[in-house]
Amino acid sequence: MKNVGTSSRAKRRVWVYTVSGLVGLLVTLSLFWALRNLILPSVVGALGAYLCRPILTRMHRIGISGHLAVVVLFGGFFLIVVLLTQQIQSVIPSELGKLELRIRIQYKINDQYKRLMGLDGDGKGNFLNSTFGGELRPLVDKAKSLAMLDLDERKTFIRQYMILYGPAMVTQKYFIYFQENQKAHRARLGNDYVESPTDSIDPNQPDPQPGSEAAAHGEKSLLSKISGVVSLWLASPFVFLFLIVDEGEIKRNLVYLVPNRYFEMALTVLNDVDQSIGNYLRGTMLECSLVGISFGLCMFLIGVDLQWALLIGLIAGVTNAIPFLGTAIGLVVGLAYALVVEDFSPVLPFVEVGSIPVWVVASVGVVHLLDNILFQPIVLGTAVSLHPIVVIIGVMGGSILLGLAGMLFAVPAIVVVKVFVSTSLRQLKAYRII
Amino acid sequence: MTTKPHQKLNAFWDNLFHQGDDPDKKDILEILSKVPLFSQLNKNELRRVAKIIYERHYSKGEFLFRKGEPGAAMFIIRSGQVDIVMTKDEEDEEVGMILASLGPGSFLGELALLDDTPRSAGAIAATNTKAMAFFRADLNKLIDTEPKIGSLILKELALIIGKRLKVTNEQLYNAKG
Repeated sequence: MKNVGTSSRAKRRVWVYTVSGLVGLLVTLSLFWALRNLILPSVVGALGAYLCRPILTRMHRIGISGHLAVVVLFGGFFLIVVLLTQQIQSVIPSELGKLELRIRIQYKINDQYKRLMGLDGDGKGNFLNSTFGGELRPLVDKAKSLAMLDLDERKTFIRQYMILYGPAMVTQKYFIYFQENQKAHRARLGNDYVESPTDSIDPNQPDPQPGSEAAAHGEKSLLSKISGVVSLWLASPFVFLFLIVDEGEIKRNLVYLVPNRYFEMALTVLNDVDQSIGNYLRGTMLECSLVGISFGLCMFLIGVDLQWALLIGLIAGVTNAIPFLGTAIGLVVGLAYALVVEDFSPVLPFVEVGSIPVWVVASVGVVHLLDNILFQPIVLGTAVSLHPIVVIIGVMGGSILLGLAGMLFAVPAIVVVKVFVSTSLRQLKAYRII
Repeated sequence: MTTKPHQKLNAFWDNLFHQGDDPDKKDILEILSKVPLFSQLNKNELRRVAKIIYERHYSKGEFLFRKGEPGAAMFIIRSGQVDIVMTKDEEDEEVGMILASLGPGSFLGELALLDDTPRSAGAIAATNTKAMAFFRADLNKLIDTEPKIGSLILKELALIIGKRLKVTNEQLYNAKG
């Protein structure tokens, strides 16, 4: 009788635990889906904490107490986030600045293309033009049309310039560029050109002033966008803090999920995976930092403003984590800057302002060479290696699924899966489970 | 001595849900202090060790580890009883001979703290058992972060192995004599 009672109780117990386990799993999955926007900031915070753990260990070893070490690390992480935000904010132009930037880009593309192809007034051009002009022209037109202002933007630009400079606006550099762009546009379209935006501007028509409904609407949407992004990314330092103060409690709770048969094996797999991935990620971070610093330094030496050299170095460093494409992105960003900016003051005496794009290409080449012969062998050493085809397919797949973030995290994700699967298989065999 | 599936499932749920509400949890430091490996550690150092150990629940008949498997952790018995056994062959779970029976406070599998050479015998829960596992990788990290604690543990481990070697030598000498 007692046995029957015990067995039915055991059955009920199994039912309760199984049902509650399933409900817990469903709730967790739906929460993940609902809060999916928080995944990227959380991953960044978690990655930061994971990468900083050896620093915490070293601080412990030299006698810094646990709490002080955490405060120092969190302060450092927070400081980096604030400095990066400030740096990025300082180079984001105002609304008028954005319009000026696009006018300048359009003008410079046209100007550089004409110079490269030797296009003078009669449009004959040099050998390059006769050979590649037919193929290049549509590409350049496409690039220019991307930068070109639409009708409303053109009106806004003219109104803003009228308010700022009055009749003297026609002598302003960007207004001259604007007119040149319009001329080129008109020349390109020929008879299809239907409207001159300057003709359609009524100077008496009031421009939306700050405080008006439209401006308020624009401001509100921008504010709500910024606050949305800020509140989302606030998760990052908090995740960093919670993970850096954790002394293995999360891992221990995960290991409780493992049945006794697999307990030792699971601990061994977790440890091996942690070591391999830790070495790979820390190596990659160091390599990217070295590439970013080298490229930023090269940019500064060839005359790029320090603020922009730092930002270009940062972009080149971060995107260096994307195999093959990283170098190309660094090149495109550097060339784009060289194409648009007019005021260069090269630190190296032999660098001429007219040849900046060539120096950008040379800098990319030097940094790429340094990366291949110095940084990668020393920093990454024998860390996990992947077949190039796996890398290419992974990066493409990542970009399709998650865009730039997907491209950045594709290779680390493949490395995690590869190390986890290979280590698990090895240990499953060692423990005679398979 | 094979475990029924529902016993394994119960042990799994015990591991999962019975960690926080264990009324005996206060005894961990006391048990650890009696383990020769940790005998030189003070209370604070024992607390540090207690933070990195894993508590496990085993049903009667469940293996803690099997002969021939790579060792990754040392086990300390908190409650219950564990038999050190030789199975009939390495692939088989049927117990051939019981070499020793260990009770609360005893420890087993300490050689796994040095490397992952295969276990020389198996360990099976003779009754429902609570055990604490001390993982080699955690000891290595402890040596790295807190060398004083790590070296005290290693020193005691060396003494234990030295004593065992002496006993084995004497047994061998007596057997030959």
